[in-house]
Amino acid sequence: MSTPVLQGQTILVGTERVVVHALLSQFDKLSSSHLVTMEDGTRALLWQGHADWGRWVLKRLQGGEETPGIPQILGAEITGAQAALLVRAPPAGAVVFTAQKWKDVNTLAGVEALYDLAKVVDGLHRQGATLRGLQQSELFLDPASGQLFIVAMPRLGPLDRQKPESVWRDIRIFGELAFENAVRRACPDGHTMVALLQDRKAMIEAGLTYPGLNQVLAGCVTPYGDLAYSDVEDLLAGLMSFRAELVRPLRFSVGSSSTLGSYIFRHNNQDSCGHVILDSQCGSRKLRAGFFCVADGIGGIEDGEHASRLAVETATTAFVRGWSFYGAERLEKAAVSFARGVARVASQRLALEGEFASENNRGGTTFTGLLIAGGRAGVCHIGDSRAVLLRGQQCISLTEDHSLASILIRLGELTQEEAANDKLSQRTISRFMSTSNEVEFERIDGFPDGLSARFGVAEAELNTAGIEIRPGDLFLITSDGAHDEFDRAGLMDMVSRFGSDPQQLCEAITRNAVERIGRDNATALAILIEG
Amino acid sequence: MLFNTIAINMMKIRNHDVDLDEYFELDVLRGWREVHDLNLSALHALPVLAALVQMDSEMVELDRIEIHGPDVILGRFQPQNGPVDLVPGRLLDHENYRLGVPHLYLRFDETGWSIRLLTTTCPTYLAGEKIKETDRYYGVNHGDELKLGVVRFVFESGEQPLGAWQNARGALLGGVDGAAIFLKRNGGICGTFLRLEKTRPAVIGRTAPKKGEVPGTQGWLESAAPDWDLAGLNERDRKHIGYRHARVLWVEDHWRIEPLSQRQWTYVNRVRVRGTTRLEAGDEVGLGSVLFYFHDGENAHDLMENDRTKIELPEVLTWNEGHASRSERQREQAPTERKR
Repeated sequence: MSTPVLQGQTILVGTERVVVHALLSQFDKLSSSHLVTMEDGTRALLWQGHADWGRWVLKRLQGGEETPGIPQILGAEITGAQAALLVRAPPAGAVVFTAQKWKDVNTLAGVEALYDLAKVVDGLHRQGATLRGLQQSELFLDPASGQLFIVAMPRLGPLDRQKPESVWRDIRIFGELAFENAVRRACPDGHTMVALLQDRKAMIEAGLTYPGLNQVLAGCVTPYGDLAYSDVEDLLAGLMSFRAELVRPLRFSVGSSSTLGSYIFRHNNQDSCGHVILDSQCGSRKLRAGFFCVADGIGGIEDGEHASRLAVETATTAFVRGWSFYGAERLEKAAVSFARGVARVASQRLALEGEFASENNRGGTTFTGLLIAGGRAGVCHIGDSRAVLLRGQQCISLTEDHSLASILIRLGELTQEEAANDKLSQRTISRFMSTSNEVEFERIDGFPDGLSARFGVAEAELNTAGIEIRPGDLFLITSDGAHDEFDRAGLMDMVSRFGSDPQQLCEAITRNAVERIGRDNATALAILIEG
Repeated sequence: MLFNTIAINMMKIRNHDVDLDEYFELDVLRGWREVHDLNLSALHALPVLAALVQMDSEMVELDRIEIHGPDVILGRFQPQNGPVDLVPGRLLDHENYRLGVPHLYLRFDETGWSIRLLTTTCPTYLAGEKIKETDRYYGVNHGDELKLGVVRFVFESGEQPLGAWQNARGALLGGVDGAAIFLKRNGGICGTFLRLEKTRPAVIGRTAPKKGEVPGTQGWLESAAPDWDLAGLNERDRKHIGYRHARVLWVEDHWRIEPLSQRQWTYVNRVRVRGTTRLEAGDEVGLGSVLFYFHDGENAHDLMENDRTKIELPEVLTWNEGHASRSERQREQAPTERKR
């Protein structure tokens, strides 16, 4: 193998035959990075340099695989004074970094990308290695996600933590990139920046309106002074608080409606529904969390009403207790587990009522709850009330009815069509919250099977952390008196007319139930994520 | 909603088998603290005599039900049908729906293991053959497939001879001089017990919130903590334990059990009792779905070969969802008819 290599040339690195595609960066006569294609067609990077450098890179990078983003070595050949390394290339969407493309990346995504990149630098520093000044020409950018990748490290060498300059050399680029992305202008040189950061008026004129950004700029602009970051951990913390300023909690608007129904022999409404929304602003972290539920009482006239009310009251109280103890961030990490825990506690409260308040010791209720915390949602479900998510033109069922019909379908004794006409097995519910026994945790459902692919998350994650919510998502929880009176087309029609106003939508749903002479109480609760 | 329910007990949904405690303490959400006695879930003290290994359709092991006694009844629990020794815990709703209440009796003696059918409505297959007769025993061997309803199990006989099991059990009971209630799990006493004192009645139950501790409880009666708190039992069993379930006391020269809970049932030798009932050494007490062995060290004749001598096999039921299997009358008479 000889230096320099030319585009189109086929060369051998160790045992791997690669075709040289393009020169990415040239540091000195001996040191360069090329994009190459391997025999199996995948892209890779070919790094060339001095033999000493090559040995150093091999030693440092081979152990660094735990840190995502640290380039992985695929093959190496060191002959005489020269080294050639084959390195895993960034994913297909990533292209050569340009300032223009970087300015087009959304600021939040940009800060997150800088955070991930800082993690890589941090990983290298922990290995005792420094890049000796990372440059924009040594980066790739994925314009869709904003992610940044290091594609060349020609100066990689030992890190001397005693010298402030050696850390600063690797992090100064973060100040430049943060400025360019957030202010969407070229970053001024260091001296201008220092002057700018000392003049509040000039800062505002320059568009520096995020306090978190100013902190990052001050930390990266010079290795000296009180504000300078002394290591990458400071930078990570600075980027994190900048990110927190950019995150705006999602706003929900909520509507609910419940009706006795127009059946003359039904005297009371045994449905209950309720919700709580809690906001917290801790430091620069803003989080919104809410719990929403519908319960459809079962049993004698007083009993069903009492049971469903008690379930809703206990569940909302339990949610507030959990929120105040654990905080919304913790809830966000386990939205489904937490929602199911809330239902578990509500069910135990009903069982206590059955034993200690003998006048209330009958009846039970279905219970379907939705927890939204930060950017995630989870469900808990017992019985035949339902939760659906309307996202764009999709209508996604988030619950599966616990009915005799579902059991007979699973046993192969009823087809879906037969079950649709078999009112008795549809109305016979196989699980509910009862005043005689608490429901064990295992029998309180989270999301049903088969949704993980739809939401692009692993099954285990789906049933602990839940799903990510998006602006425009519309969640709808209904009791059977409401959803038995419309089919999917009817629902989509109502959503298309009233979907932007949850209160109007819920009223339309209950009005529909009354107009169809629904025999049951009907309740609807809708939550629109406004973004 | 029209009131029409089927009671399906004891369900464990496979894909939701997540331990909540990893994430949150339920006590925080409740607003009051439950006592969880770790002894209730300690390792079983008696040797495993056999096991039923639950398989999925691809014959991948899903669950393993270990049998710790030579006389066990398997099925799902319904209060009106009485407690059973073995409850498959990892069945889906439809699988449970085709499991008998109870389903099967398994017996181990010198000739090996045999089974007897206790249901006529839930299909049962032994080594691929459908079995129907309820008045005879079928021999079952290591490796036999046993299909109960729609669930497949493989039967595994254990390594330990019956003698080893009897010795272990004798040693456990012999270590307690006075009277005690031993918790049974999977067909045998598991090593956890409550010692009884003649001067002090013992209430068995589980932790409840104090009066006024949670909203809506101001009007409740004050209740003291139970002497034996069973809140730490597994979720499937504890749900059938009343907060103050029953009291064991020494009255007029006899040990007696007094049911306290209106909702959760108390059984003696698998027959429901409604009033204070005399206990004799070797009686089996049932609280909800949980079985206990009553030991009286002063009447050491209870150290017999197994703890089934006083229990008759239940009648074979033609069981329908939602209906009590036997008439209450039959059950009511049973305690007085018991032979002493």
